[in-house]
Amino acid sequence: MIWKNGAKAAFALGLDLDGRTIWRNKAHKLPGGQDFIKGVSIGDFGVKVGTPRLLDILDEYGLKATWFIPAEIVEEHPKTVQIILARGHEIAHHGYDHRGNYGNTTEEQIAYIEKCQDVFLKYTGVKAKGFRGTGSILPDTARWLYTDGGFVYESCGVSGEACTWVEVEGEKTKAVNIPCRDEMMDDYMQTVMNSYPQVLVGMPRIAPYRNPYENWMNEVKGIIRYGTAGSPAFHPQIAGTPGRAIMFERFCRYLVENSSLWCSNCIDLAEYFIEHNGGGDHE
Amino acid sequence: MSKDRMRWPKGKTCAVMISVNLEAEYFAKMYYPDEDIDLASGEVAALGWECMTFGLPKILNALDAHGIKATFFILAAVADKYPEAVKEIASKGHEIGCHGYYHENLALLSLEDQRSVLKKAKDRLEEVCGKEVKGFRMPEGEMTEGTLKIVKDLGFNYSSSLSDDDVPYLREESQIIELPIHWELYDLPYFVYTWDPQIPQGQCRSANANDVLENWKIELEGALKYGTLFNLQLDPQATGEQGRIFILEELLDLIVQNEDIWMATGEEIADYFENSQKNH
Repeated sequence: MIWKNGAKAAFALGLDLDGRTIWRNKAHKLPGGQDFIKGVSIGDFGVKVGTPRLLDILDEYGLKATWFIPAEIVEEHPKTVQIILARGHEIAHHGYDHRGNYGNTTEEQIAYIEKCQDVFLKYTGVKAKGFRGTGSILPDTARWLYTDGGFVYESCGVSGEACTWVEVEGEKTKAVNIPCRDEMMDDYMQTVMNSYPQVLVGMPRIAPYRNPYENWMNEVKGIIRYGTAGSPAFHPQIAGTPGRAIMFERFCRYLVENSSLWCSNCIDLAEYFIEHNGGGDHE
Repeated sequence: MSKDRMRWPKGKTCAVMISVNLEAEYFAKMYYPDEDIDLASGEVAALGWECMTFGLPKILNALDAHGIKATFFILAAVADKYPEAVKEIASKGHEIGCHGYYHENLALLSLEDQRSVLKKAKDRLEEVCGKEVKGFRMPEGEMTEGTLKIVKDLGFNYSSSLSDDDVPYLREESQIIELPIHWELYDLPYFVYTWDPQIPQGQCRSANANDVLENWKIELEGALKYGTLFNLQLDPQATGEQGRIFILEELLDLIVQNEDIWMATGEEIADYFENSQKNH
């Protein structure tokens, strides 16, 4: 399809503001882990330092992004989340505390997702319209998400390469899939590190910064070549260190200088797709 | 919402602290914190010997050649085994900090045991180097806020162990100054490799030293842009190796030539931060 302003492809900057959730979840599996302070300090960096730094860069390049935020982070840092919104960005669903298990039944999973929406509503006055899962969900939960649940798009790990209608068990829904390919577009997996617990497991080397940077650009080139859309997963706790912020800024410059690309946040991208594809009426 | 930019002495733009984690064979405890692995023989012992015999002199020479005073966080067990090396480091005017006694995983010890082992480590290091030890760096593993309260109680002036900022800050609960560190500025996890025991456990290939230097240069560019503390961590077996020492030399060339950089030891940075808070 032709995207906004005649662009060949669309790109929605996505940032996962996980904060300490992922570190707390790992530490809790170790004896006395609830009191550990090293691992969670890596996550805290994202809220305390990475977020303001990346917000400034986004402003500088006039980019509006989507911030996927666990509800627990919203509860713990409501001011940060309000500032993200006030700067014109979207916030979207990323679970409560980044756990992998959303519940064992559809009812449990819906209740878990709704609990997060209540937090969003309480602290920001709006519910999330976008979904980036931190674990898998049952087909009936997905059906609910994209009908009565009110979610307009999903942007999850491996979800093919096409920006098109989300399908549940072969059936089209009214929501849009915005692909987010982890190994190309997730900065965390390329350059995160910790020793106890080991992150990543086996302690692979932190990548040379230009490797993920060139992958981001290669993925954008692929998105343009095939005329689709995509969203990365930048983590402020990773992308926000002084050097990686330099790389993030270079990538932002690459995006805005790329005339084949329409850069937007996820919700605008999804709504544009819906509007130009019959409104999701598949009858 | 940008954070207030840190003000550094003499109008400098950012600060650089070169720190050395002197662990000899105890480096293996970072990879096997809770296991009773053999440190006395095999490749682990050999790399410990390499660290002290080949790596350390090259690191010291590179620091001397650039007129830089670094901060050495030393295990007391290393001071027991290599007292002359520790004395030499101290005699060259480098700061001596504490990195635990036997590279304990502190969080797994009772608070009493933590207090006892850190006190012994501090006393032993002070005895060997003849100077007061004011800096603490957590042996890689975990710790709790209780650990930092003990550290403060024992008379340490600062910790350099956590990652939730990139400028010095005062830890509220324990009232100790923290000089943050970040994994990407630590050489060992990029380079270390042994077959048995497997280090790293994933048997991932050792990094290209040029790539590591490039990451560090980008982080230095970022430190200058954002006015932060560039806190480099070195293990002599890693960057002190003959085919890799050039990355430290090249980085230090850049640093000493740049007049916008304040080069300081941990103690100097902590003192500056403490005074700037008082005058605030």
